Amino acid sequence: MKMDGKIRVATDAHYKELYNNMKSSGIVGDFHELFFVCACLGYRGKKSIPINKRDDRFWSSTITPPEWACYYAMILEQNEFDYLKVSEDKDLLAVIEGYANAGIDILIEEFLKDYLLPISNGSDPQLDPPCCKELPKQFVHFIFEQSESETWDN
Amino acid sequence: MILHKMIVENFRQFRGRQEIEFWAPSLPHHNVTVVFGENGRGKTGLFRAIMFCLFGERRLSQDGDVPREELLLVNVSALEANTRQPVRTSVELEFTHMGQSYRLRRAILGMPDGKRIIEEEDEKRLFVITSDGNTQTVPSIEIDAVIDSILDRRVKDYFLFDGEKIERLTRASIEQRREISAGIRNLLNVDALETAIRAVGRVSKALEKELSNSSHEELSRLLKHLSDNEEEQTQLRKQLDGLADEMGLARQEVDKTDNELKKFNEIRHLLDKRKLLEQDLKGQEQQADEVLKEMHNLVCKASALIVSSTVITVFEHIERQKQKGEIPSEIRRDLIERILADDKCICGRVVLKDPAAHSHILDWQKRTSDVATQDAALNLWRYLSEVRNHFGDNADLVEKRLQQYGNIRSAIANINRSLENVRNQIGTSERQDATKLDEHRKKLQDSIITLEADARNAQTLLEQLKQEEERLRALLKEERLKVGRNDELSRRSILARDTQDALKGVHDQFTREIKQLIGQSATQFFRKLLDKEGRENLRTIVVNDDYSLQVLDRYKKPFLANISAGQRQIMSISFIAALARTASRGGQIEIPLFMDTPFGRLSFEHRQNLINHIPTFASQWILLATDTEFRRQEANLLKTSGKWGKFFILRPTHDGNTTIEEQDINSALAILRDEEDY
Repeated sequence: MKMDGKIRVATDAHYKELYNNMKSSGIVGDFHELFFVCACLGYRGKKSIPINKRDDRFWSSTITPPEWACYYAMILEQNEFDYLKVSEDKDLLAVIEGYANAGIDILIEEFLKDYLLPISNGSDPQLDPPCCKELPKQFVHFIFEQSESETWDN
Repeated sequence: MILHKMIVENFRQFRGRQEIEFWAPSLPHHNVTVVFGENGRGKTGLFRAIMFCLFGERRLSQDGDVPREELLLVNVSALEANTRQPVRTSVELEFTHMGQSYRLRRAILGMPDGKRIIEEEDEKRLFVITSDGNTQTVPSIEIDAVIDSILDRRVKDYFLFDGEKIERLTRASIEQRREISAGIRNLLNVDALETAIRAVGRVSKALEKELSNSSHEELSRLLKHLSDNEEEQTQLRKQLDGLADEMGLARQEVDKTDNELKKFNEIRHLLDKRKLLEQDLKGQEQQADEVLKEMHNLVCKASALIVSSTVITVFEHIERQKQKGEIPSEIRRDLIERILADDKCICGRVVLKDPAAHSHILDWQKRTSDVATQDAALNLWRYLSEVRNHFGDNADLVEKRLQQYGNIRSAIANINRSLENVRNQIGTSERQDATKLDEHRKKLQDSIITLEADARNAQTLLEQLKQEEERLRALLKEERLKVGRNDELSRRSILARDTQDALKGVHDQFTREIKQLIGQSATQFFRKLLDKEGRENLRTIVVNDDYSLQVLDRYKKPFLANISAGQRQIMSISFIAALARTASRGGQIEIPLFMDTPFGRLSFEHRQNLINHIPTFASQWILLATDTEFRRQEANLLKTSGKWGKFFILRPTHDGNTTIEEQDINSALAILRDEEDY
């Protein structure tokens, strides 16, 4: 739990274009933000998919402390609070990559598919720019809808 | 000149033969005629008919740069009905002047030629009716001279009082000076004198040039300077003329644009509303874009909410561990491990001999963790506490931003609905051009302001050059005496220059006196026509040396910049009346006064004064009025004055033409509306 900033975080190469599109369209500020959304969705859906073809996406130094805290919390909860499981950041991020890889599928299936160019024969998903004018707002709205319906009492 | 009757045949809107009688012999002192009609019915067309008949003119000064083909005199309906046949268009005017009666007829033939219409002169005839009732025909070649002797064509435009023209007269500009100057010079017939001044000037210049080539060095230098100075003055005058022309054209364009804009007055409020809505829409769309651009800042805040239960669970677990003393542990793990390894407590007791104590120590070992893990767990507890504490605020923020964006979109949808509604009301795209016209007008006004500034600068420079010229002339005179160049050439040069100066002196004195005379006369009219308040404040009209008009207040201070549009109109009418009186050698104005839309800018008291006084100093007053300015109130005043002789209404016909219909004055009062009706 050192919040190690020297680790290369990877996503599946299949989603390279989509990550790039989401950043260049201003829907997310940086790759780690989209990765975080996907990880949360994958974890919440209890789904993890191993990365088929690793493609380094960003340095772990860009991950913010609140994101790290959430990642640690996910792994601790999953492993019945075994602190050994969160002692190595590299191992932890490898598990989180699996959640994020599953999460991006959920994101596409439940939300992004209406904003993508038609996908044929396993082509990489890409945003369809003319459909994306209001995507930043719709994206936040979708994420907010996914949040658990509880009151945020401290 | 008193107009009696005019007969028009197929002239512009007036199809067939129609007549209008301006003066009835049975009522010789009833010298006011009112021609009443909506805009576009042909009021100005009647004045145009008179100008055509008298001078053969097809274009009035207010026509500006309207193409000739748009100023057709022939009635187009008659032409369409007479396929392939020429249509005769004629105007016949009966009038008297200085006791002599005249009948003048002028006609043209209009005929189609492909898509355009050709108008060719057909007839021009002038008859003089002698006192014994016989008629004499004036030879064709003499007609123009006879008419010019009755009403000089150069001053004719002054006697159609067009509102805009009157307004222009009081503007302190080069144009104004030019217009007034032209009026005064035409009136005085000083052309011959001016020609003589120019001719002597040319002689003088040639002699000075000759002199400069042969004389003393200093004399030559002064003559050269003088020549340069004169050249610069000439250039500046040309520049001023050019600027005046440009200003004139720009003002004509403004007038034309204003006429176009009048068509849009009925939808002006809608155009203003559309402009506001469009601005509002732009503002809301910008705001929506800004909110959208900032949306990505919410992604992480919202995403953490997805795993909020995990965050809370882990936080609470660590919290419980803390409460139990497991994190940080009360006993250090390395101490316990040392006790177990040494099998001896810190108090010296052997641990293995006490199974209960040994079991306790093993429990402690399980509950403790290494220092690094404990520190990390505590750090995590702090981060999770922060994340957890912000859940509520972040959820509120996200919700608020989404709501804000929704509100903006909803406002945009409402504005778009209102815009569509307004656009439907505005109608065709042609009508939407009003905004473009407005912009065009603004640009013209800006360019007029720039031209005026340029003209002021040029005028200042010209004055400086004139002063320099005077100085040079004085030096030149001294130098001539000094070098004793009293030879033949020098004497001739001095003589030519002195002659020119003398002629200029005569010209200047004469025009100065006339200007004074016109100023005095204009002041008399002005004081009669002004309302009470105006009379208290405004005292004198002055025609300045540079031909600009000025009005002085009771303290003899210039006050022109502060007077109202109505007072400006009264001032201009006074000036024109004075001009006419001076031309008539101080008697009654022997020229009929036409006033097109005469009362538009005037208060009721001003209208009252015009109605009471103009018929007493003009031989004939013809009012071309619309229903918004000639109402029952004005008609009652006119009737009471005892000067109102004739009333005509211009009525539209089913085929778009106009008929002239005479009404008696009493029925006019029934037709006209009161002010309250508007």
